[in-house]
Amino acid sequence: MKDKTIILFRTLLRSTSSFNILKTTDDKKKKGKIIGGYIGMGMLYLMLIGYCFLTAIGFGYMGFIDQMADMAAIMICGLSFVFTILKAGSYLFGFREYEMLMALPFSEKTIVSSKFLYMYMKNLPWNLSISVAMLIGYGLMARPAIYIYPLWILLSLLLPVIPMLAASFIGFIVARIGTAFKHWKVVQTILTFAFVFLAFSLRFILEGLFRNNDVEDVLAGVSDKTQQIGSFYPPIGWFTKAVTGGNILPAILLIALTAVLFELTFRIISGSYKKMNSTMKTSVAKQSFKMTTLKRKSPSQAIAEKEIRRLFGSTNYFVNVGFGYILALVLGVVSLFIGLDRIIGVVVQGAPVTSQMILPAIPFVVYFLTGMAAMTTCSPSLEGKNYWILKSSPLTNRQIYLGKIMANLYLAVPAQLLTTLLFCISAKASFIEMVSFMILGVALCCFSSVFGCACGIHFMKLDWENEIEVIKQGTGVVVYMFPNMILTTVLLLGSIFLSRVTGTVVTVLLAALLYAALTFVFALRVEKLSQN
Amino acid sequence: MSVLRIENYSKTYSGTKKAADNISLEVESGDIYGFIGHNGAGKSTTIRAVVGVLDFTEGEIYIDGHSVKKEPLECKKITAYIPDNPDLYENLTGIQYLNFIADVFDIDSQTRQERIKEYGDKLEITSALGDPISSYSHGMKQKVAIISALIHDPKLIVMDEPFVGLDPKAAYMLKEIMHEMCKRGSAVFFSTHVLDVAEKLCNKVAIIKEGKIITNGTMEELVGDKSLEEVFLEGVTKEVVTPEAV
Repeated sequence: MKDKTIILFRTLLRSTSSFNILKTTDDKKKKGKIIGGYIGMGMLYLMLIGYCFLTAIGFGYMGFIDQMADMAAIMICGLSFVFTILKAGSYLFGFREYEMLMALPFSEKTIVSSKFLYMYMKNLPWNLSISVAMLIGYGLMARPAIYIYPLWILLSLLLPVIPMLAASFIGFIVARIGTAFKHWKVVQTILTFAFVFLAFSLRFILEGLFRNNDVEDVLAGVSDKTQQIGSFYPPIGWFTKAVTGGNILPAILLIALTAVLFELTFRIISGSYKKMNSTMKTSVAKQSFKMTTLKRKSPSQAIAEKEIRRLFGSTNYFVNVGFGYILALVLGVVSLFIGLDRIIGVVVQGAPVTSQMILPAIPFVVYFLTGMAAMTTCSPSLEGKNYWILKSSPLTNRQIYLGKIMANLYLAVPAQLLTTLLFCISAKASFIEMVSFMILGVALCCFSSVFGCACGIHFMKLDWENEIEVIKQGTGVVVYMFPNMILTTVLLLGSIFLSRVTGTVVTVLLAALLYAALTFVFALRVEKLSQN
Repeated sequence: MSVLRIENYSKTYSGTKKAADNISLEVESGDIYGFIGHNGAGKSTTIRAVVGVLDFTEGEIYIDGHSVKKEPLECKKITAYIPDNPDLYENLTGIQYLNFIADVFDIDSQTRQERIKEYGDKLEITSALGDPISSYSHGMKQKVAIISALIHDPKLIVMDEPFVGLDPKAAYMLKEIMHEMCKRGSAVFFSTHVLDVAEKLCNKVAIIKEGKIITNGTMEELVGDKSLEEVFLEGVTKEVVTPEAV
């Protein structure tokens, strides 16, 4: 008899893989999109491999060959934890086919562990890219014994499991605490935010361990710092000892601890799994409604309001999209009390950068927080099975997408402008500078909403199994985020240098003009896609 | 021995509202048992507890003598569930989905092929099984869900509004299949709004209102010389004493 965890895991992979559609569909456009998605993802993996390989070679030339294993392990563990904490709750609980699976002869433990393995598999290409690239670098520089190569690969496959288990357990705790309350969604959202903030703070602390004021200090400190992490988090130390010292005992310890924690975590989660899902999947109608005046709205306005309700109704959607807005506002308020210079000091780890030096970049800095996850990248896909409601309504596609763009603007513009205002007060910007930042801020929000919408429509996926697939991992989201990030970085740095020649206000207004032009181009693209 | 026995089952939402209130009923081998009630009466809540999807604290549910609470896997091995709106894996083809279900129930290769062919032909969907489920209509998805439910020859088939979305021929075939299953000793427990269907198909029926069973028993006992529609309307406007209680 086949193992049921494997049967379910295999089916989950198959049912969410576009490869299965590629095999069975005759739709050339669909095939093209899928292949385009593969090429895009392939390029991202290649970029990561290139980055890791060069880092390894750089470390090797600087004489830190033995720290390569630590570096690889830290990167794999850190990324796995951060990636998982944002989606664990959604993958383990509240998925669409819960009812179908629970009615089949699967134990709760089988379902949860299959879902975990599925998450692991989705992270695997990222982890393997890091591991293999660093191994090649290590191999070239250190010339280890031949058995080290398979050992490195095997252990690096195990390394992400414990951080992912920890993140899953946090997701479970959040859901468990949340379901004890009447308004469990609100409690879950607040707790998820708290843990995500904590995870990001942890990232800064870890980064801080590797950064310092100058390069020499960094390199000199690397050896000590990596060893510190190895002793603080023993699995990393065990991995390093096994692959650099050829020591088998740490390898056995890593394997054993992973297996024990895997069993223990899912034993605990499965214990209250059905009860928690019963709470999350059921609700009672109050039946106390009394008809009051209903205001008339334009169709696009009605869609915009529906989108915002959808955002606030889903913990996953809200945490992924709203995190940037809340973080921006929190930093804006904090800057009033401690000063923008101190926040910059934390981000650049003490490098001699002041708020006056980066003044023209303030709108871009804020946009880094508010504009990297636009609602419009996933809101067309999130219609899912309810797509018929909009399509069967007497609405043009233009009205539908305008409503989605408006929803994003309703949230992004206030967050962008308010944070800009707070930063400007803290940085003592002049009134005219502040106004120019506001103009650029609005242009950035318009660009973000429209470009996001173009990506969201182009890569619309309605047949998702779990909403997190389109919120966090959708092709539209990835295609939107990376060019947006690169463009923002280039213009952020460019504006600092250009402002020395043309002055802050002119530079910022030029940037606003550029974004207005880009918004126009992508608005035309949305218009064209709306006609399909 | 009864195939399904529900004993004093209650389910409370949000700590106060009782969606199911002290429900007890028994479905025996060969029964086609109809579960009738208004929208929100508690039919789906009860059905989802029977098939092990929904947690409950009060009462007990037994399938072929096994407790749903204490031996869920034993119960699920002999039960089939067809929800009103089946959420199947959309990116799988019909045959991939059915093969997955056959793997879950550990059905041997020859048997699964025979059963998929038999029910696929009866429901006229065999030729579409190679296509992705995402390309299916609601009725076609319902047919795949029905085949997947029958693939392991269950002792108990639980269905929530099974006739919704089925074309007339498929609805007729489903009724035939239900009769065949019952002749072989299985039992069928299903909810429906279509009272004509229930009256013609079921030998037993229960009417539920606001989470409480207001009447249940054999069709002859309940209906007498009236129609099921009349009995239902009388029952939901005033409480009716169950024949078993008399």
